[in-house]
Amino acid sequence: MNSQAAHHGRCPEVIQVLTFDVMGVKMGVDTEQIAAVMDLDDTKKQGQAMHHVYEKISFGPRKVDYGAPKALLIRDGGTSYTVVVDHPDDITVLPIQSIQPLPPLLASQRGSCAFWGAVAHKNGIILLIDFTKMGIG
Amino acid sequence: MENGAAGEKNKSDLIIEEIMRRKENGSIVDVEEKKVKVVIFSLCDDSYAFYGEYIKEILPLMTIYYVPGAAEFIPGVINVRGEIESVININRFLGIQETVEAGSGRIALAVTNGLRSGILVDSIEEVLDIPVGSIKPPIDTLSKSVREFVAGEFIHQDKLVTILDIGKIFGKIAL
Repeated sequence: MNSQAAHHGRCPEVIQVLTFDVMGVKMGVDTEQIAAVMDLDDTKKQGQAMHHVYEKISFGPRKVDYGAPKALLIRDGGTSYTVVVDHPDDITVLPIQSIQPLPPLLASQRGSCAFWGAVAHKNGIILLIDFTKMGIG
Repeated sequence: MENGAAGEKNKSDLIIEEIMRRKENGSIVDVEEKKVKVVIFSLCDDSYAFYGEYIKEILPLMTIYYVPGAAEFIPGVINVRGEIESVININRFLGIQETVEAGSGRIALAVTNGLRSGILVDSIEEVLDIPVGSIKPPIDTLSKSVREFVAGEFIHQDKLVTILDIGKIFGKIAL
């Protein structure tokens, strides 16, 4: 993401997102929120508390399952914390015109408020998540 | 029977004229009777309908992408030619038993009051125009969870069809 543009209140033309899975759901986060992608062992060694998306957002009856988990070190204002995600595998540049707001009936659901948009991408849908709105920091 | 005074019409003429007059009046009534389009669909072997003016498209069942945190009756979102739309499981929303058969449903894409969403139904039975006068208020025996969202009822092919009010359904979810 073009931080200069964002900080001056201007909307960027593109954002860069890291895509990953959480319990089978494809998500993307603005790389500007990520300070590092870490192995879980390294995160433990550093004594970082690890948070899980499913602790803050309900996944219903879905089973907690990770295939290739990593910890994302998230910058959130003056603080930082880690969030565990699965298969962080791709950094994608998204033109902002490709981003759609969540459909209105979903946007009205309190449980999904950390999702701020969605993108139709490679025959699928990526949900864009804002970790700073999950209430961890 | 004989005719009365000269020039007076005979009985058969009078009868046929009366028949024609009544037929004409009847046809005028038919033409003027206001009709409304409905989309009839099935949920768990019962027939329901939406007003056709709110149904933009009928889609085949497609991949529904789960959205964490959404209400139980919103199974996720679909990609309709690049547009991302929510999907409502109307059975769950109304508290109606769900159909066991998987993969046989349809998605009705509905739009009203600036809100739009797909609505998962078991099958689309028919799209037809019905006289407005044939729509009656909902019967009291409907469950409260359903009655709140019912616009009316009508009989079609000897079956009761319950018209659901999409505006009320969307309004309740968007609250």
